Amino acid sequence: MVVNAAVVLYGTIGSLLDGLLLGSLYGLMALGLTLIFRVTKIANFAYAEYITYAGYAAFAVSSMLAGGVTAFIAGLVAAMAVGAVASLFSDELAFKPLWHRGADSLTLLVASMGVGFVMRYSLLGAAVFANWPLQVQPNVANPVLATIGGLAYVSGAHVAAVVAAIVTAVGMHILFTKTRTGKAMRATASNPVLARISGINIYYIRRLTWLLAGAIGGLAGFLYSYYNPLNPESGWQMLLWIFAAAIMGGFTFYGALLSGIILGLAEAVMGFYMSTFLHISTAYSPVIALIALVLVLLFRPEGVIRLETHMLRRRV
Amino acid sequence: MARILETRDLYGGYGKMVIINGVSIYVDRGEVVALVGPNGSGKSTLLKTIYGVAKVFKGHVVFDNKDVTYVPPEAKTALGMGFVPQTDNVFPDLTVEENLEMGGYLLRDERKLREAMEVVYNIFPQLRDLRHVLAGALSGGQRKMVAVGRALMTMPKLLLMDEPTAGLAPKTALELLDKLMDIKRETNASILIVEQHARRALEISDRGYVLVSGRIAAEGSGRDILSRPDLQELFLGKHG
Amino acid sequence: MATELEGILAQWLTYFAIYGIMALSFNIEYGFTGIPNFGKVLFVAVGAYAAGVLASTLVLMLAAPALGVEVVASGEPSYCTAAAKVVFSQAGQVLSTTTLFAIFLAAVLAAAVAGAATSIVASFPALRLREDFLAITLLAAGEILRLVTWTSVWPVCSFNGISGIPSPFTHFLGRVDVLYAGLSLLFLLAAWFYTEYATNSPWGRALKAVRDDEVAAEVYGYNVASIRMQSLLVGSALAGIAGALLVFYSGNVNAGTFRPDMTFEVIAAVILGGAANNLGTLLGAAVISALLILMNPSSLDALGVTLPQGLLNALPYLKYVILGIVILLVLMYRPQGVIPEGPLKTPIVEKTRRKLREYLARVGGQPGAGRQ
Ligand SMILES: Nc1ncnc2c1ncn2[C@@H]1O[C@H](COP(=O)(O)OP(=O)(O)OP(=O)(O)O)[C@@H](O)[C@H]1O
Ligand SMILES: [Mg+2]
Repeated sequence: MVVNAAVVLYGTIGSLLDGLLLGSLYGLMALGLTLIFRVTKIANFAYAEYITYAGYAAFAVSSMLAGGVTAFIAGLVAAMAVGAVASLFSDELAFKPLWHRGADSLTLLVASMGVGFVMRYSLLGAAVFANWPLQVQPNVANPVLATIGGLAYVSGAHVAAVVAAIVTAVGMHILFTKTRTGKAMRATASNPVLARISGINIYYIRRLTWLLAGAIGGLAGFLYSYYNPLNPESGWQMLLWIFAAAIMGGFTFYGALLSGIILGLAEAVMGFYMSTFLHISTAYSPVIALIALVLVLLFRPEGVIRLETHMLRRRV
Repeated sequence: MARILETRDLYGGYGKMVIINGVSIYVDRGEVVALVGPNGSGKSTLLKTIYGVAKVFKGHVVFDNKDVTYVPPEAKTALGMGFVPQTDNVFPDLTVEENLEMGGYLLRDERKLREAMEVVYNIFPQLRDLRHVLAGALSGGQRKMVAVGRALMTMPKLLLMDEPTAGLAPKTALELLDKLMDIKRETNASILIVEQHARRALEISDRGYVLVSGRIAAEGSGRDILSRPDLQELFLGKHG
Repeated sequence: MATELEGILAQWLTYFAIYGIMALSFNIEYGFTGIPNFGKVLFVAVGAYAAGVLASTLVLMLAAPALGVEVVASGEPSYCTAAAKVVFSQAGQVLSTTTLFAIFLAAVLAAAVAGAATSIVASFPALRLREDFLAITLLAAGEILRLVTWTSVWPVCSFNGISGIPSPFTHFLGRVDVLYAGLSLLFLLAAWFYTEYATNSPWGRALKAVRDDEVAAEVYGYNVASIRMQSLLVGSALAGIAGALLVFYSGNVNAGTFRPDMTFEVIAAVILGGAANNLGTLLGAAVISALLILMNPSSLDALGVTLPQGLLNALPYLKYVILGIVILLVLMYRPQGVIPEGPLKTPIVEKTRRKLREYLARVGGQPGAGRQ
């Protein structure tokens, strides 16, 4: 088969743009996961559901409005609020009680899977029960800002995702390295008893952490659904990607963002090339992120792109 | 009342395990009180119980005429208490400077924080050079300095110190104790100190308590305790 | 009514047997050795694929010539063709019960071997990673296999799967489902005897020693790496067998079956019943499989329970909500499970502790620097 040069060129540009969008979203999502892991040491599988719930909230709220800027802002606020609240609730009801009982990291991981199950399947159940649409998208137009060669285009979602991801990553990095509260978060993670002795209210810090992480997830959920319809399993389907980005980034904020973008680009661009030249189904492209995750965990469990040291290796 | 701290018939420990069995001690304002006793007698546990880090089963802790028995540790620090635990007394994943900042978490005011940090750096000049090093990467002695420095950041009215000189070179240890005494005099703080070197501790202290198996076995001025022959037998002999 | 009840009972017993084997296998790894094999479904899938591929290939080889059907494949495996389906559906006419049973047993054996062989893959990360990251790695590995096999025609015909694999009971009349339940229970019984025997043997004590304190186990002379590998080997072989039983129960192999949810069901069974307790594990498997069976519109219908349509539609999801809640409650209020781990009958722990103390005294360290 002859491959048209223009198709390849604009296809490449298009997949680069989409990869950047998707990657920024993975990175953004990974920031919240990273925050939770850094402060509470929980590899939180329920995190995906905060994203999904937020997307649904944005849909519900924006559908009640006429669209436009109001709907955009209302949807965004609703998504972040629902993400934050879902996140805080899951800690208060499940993780904090377990942590008080001295649960180890694996128990907390299993618990987070349990929380994820409860959240995901109750949303699915409720959606089926009440005949909600299974694919939702906020009632906000995604304007095309520029078209390149008729095949590739830049939309509002592209800009929003990239900007949000970069701003959040920089914000989180500043929070952790420059502010009193952020340092208290790190202190709480490093030595909770001494943090209390130093006058830090670690419960307040913990609540703040979960709220913030949930809000980040909510923001990502909104932006994702702004671009792509969301279903009750969307978050879960992206979770391993999010973990891949966070782990590749060594659980640092800039690392997570960069890794997310790399994964997104790899998925989109390699998917495009594989289907164009090798006729390999694009259904394989998600496997790229998973393989990256497994390889990173096996050969560089401390992360590939990182700014600080975190030991994920076994202590033997 | 001249008393800054008093425990009344305090019982404390971990989980269901009672380690402290009815301890009543007090510290007067401006006083240095030493707590000595054999290994495992519960000295650390007593301090932790007072601070609310270990569990209180019964009894009272009164600080500055206020019953603080069940006041959480963070609030005790806000009230003007300070604590240097024996172990896990730094934030290993934070730099030295950040450790000190966390010690001054309650100061809020950036200027006050810098001032307090200067004071600490003047006491431990070594720390100034190490300020961007992770505390987890320090030597045992350096870590002790960070631990003490962190607790000094808020200039507490009462400082509980659990073996602050353990692991320091003898000369450094003596210097540290000297400096602590200076600070104490300047700020009129009170100190409850646990020391391995019982003789050294009792010499610098106004009074002392001997803890054995979670109970107070003897009390009195440092000189009294040092001169009691039965207690010499018990544990002091080791340190000569 | 009665026959419907029998049907549900047979379904439950079969599920119980299959989930019981998976749970026993997870228990060996997680409960006894402390390896969180959250890629359980990977090994079940490998077993199912091996069993499905071998059985369908054998059936084609033996039955197609006799039936006079010509199976021509182009690029895809021969058992994925439409002609193969015809052969499968008519295989009973030319294959005897003995042959069908031989195929079944060969497939189960192949599943066990394939599962065990795949465990080599898991043992690599299991030796290197912290527990929670090991769990994520294995989970991701399971997802890779599922996504790839769902898309690729090799080995199990992508999303179509292999269907119509003849059951060993093809020639039997009457309650074939009850017979199959009995057959599965035989396998469960064997697996149970084996795990009970193995975990109470010196080998089982070695597993626990590795789980409780690797350094101590090393000091005591155990080869920790090798023991972890052995544990995974045995666990994965059992998981493979469970996969094979699943294939002959439904007659299908489909990549879509092997979602991480299945792993979670197994984890739930073990945590609910009690980790490191084989009896508890079986109890957990019985409860979880009952939940899976009962929370099903057709089962409820058979039991004469009527629910509003909306609720019936939501039922398949609600069962996972319940599963999640059960897990959380158990973790919070009874983390040791319904039947906790029994005390060791041999003084291995004391021995190990003493050895450790002696060792540490020699090297002059302090035992386990207490953190709080
Ligand atoms: N976190 C803990 N949990 C349970 N028991 C503890 C804990 N910490 C200490 N213990 C026990 O409490 C008792 C008293 O310990 P403590 O640390 O108070 O002694 P100590 O007098 O400070 O000894 P040392 O001079 O060695 O520091 C010991 O028997 C010890 O085993
Ligand atoms: Mg002590």
